[in-house]
Amino acid sequence: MTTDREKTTYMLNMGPQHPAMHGVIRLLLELEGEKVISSDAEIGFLHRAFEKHAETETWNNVVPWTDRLNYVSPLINNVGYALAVEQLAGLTSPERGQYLRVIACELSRVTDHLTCVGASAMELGAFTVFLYLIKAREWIYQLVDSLTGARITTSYTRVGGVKADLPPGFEEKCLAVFKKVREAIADSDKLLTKNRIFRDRVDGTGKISKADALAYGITGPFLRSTGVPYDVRRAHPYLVYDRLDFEVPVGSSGDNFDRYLCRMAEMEQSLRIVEQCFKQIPEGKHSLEVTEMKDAFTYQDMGKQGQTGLLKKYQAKVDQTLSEGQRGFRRNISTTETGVTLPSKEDAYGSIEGLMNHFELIMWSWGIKIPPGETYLAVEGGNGELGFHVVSSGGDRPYRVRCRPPCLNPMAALPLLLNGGYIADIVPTFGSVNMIAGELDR
Amino acid sequence: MTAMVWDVRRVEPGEPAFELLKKLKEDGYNVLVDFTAVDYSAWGKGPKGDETDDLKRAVPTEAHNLVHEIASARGEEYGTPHLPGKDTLTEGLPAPRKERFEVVWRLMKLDPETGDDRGRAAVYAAFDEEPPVLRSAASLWPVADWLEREVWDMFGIRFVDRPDIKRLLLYEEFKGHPLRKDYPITRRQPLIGPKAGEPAGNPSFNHLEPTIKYE
Amino acid sequence: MTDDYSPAGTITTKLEDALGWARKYSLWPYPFVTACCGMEYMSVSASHYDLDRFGAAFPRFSPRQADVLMVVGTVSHKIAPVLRRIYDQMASPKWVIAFGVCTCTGGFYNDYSTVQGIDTILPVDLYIPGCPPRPETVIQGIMLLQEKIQKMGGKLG
Repeated sequence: MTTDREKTTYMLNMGPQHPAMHGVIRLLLELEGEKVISSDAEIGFLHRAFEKHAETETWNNVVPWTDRLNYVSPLINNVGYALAVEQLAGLTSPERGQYLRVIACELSRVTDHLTCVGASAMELGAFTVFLYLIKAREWIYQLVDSLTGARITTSYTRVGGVKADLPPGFEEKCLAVFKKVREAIADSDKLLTKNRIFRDRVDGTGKISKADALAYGITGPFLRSTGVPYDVRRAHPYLVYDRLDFEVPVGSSGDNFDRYLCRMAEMEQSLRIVEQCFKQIPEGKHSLEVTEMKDAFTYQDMGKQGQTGLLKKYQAKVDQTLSEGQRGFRRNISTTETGVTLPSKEDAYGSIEGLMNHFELIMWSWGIKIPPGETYLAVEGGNGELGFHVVSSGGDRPYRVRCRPPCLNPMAALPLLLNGGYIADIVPTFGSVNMIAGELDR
Repeated sequence: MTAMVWDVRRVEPGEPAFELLKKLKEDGYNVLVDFTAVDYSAWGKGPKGDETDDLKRAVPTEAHNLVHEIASARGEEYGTPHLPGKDTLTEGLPAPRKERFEVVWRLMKLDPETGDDRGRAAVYAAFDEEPPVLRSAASLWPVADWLEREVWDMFGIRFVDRPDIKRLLLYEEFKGHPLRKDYPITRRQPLIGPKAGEPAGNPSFNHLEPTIKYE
Repeated sequence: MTDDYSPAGTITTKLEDALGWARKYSLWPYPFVTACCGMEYMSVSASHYDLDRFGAAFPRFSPRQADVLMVVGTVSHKIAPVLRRIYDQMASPKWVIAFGVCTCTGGFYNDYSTVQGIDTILPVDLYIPGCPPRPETVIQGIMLLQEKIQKMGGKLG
């Protein structure tokens, strides 16, 4: 006599706090033994009200909030927001400023992929790879630190330009660091790509088809691993990407291994982009009219003695990384629209017009006024199309800022990726989604 | 810089947006890039909601005009802290809006073989809060499920065919819809969670129910 | 023994010191990582700025096995009950580190969904401010925690 075996499933909660260092998310799994029958993701554990805060802050003050969106690639968020606001206002930053933004974006993209690959390798047991890639990330953080002043929460861009110019010797430091970063990536590649254990776990798991990926609006390395070569830098080139030569790595089967390969290849391409930028970047030092530079204290003394005519003629010699610094550097990295950017230090301290300009931009309820309208601009974030939908009502602060998070789409498609697999497949799949809770929950 | 070119469609209030979206999907718009909403109830008002706030900011001061005169007498250009070419007195104030909410679906035609973006469309629909007029687009693009949950969560916009919609980013015990303009950002909600000795009944994510029912 | 040769309580205070020393150099952290500070936590635990020198190399992802709860990153109202439950599940002696200014006071997230400092729901032993704190700050903080642990000696509470 045969008895019908009663199928039983049980529910397992993976999260909201779980050992993978990806952040807080809850996966509700319905399991039959080790097989996942159905799953659901619950998000929102890091909702920090970015969009609401953006409505209460002035246009430039929103930039620190954008840092904390995708916190592994903060400069890309900064650049995306600044570009969206500039599109609304009809401004463009000067060429050197655009190259600086591209350098910043690509350095951030490298840190994003290093963190993603490192953390997901660690969860599969490859702790050495984590240490190598985090070591490489440390060097890049030191570069970002010298460029912007902070390692992670950079707040580098302003509406109309960037905060300040490159520090002296940046190019040499960068090229030396890139050599070491390439070695670290090559070492990790040797450890992982042909590794039997790694391949067994990531080959064929987390597969998604092209049609499903498009139906869920997935972009970025996730979509490229399925074979669709869509990259916002190619489809809608922004900044100076149309002058740079880089490849867009494309996978074929849409599983975790292809995503890993896509990310490793993209890191190499990003490093190439930065090297090309250093060759193409226009010289930042000279302004057309000023002939001499004086030390800052001499400049100050001239002002105190009333030699204001001379103040217009000379420039103060200050470090080029001083925010809103020297007049000559300033006009190369930031638009000269006085309604938008703070005047250089010589003008702010040396002439009454500059002082008034500075004051009016800083004063509460004055400041930058962007004409009413709305716009949407997308940049290529670490995970895909990072869009900013900005609405202005003509005031000194945004009316609405919406960040279109690229990692919301693979998270919405997570049931497709996980159902039918085993619990052990969740780990590499979730690692390759690269869910950044700051961006997902905003 | 190659900006995106949007094919903008506006849905008249009262017309169903779903039909237009279905037609656009059949035309080849296979990707729903974004779906979001804007609450226009504070449109044209100053930061404190005071209508005169805007006018105060738009009028240049006496000192301002004097500096302009001096600078132009010297032959110098001194810009005002308003973008040039815009007359802030009249153009600074935006056109008033009739309906409270406006939602926008952003669509993209993506060629799966070449990865080219063949076109983008934006569908705007403006409406007041009640009665609910929107139909869910989840049958056309599956990701609309989560995007609509977020719009419900943040704005309280209902969908006629989703009566049991769940919040996405906040928890069910949260009262209010935060991105509405009448919700102050610093409003505090009571802490949730079991008090000492109570069973862990809330928050709602403590309930685990299987989705498969066996007879 | 006479008192001037070995004062009263010598054996037990030396024992307390030894326990304090043992505890402070064998910290088992439970990293409750939520947000951007997690990146600095990863940097601190990796090879450049090493947490292994404090014996805290391997995070113990079970609250029963850990003794230091490092709350890293913003705590929202949705995850606060989970945090409290994890704290309750840990066995004494336990210490709590509020890593990052979002956990100390809420940071600049003065809004409807952020807990304004985890000391509203947990007793905190060490506050490490910074947004995010540099790894050197974190190391200094952990050294201060070590002094606190040393002074506690063998006590459990």
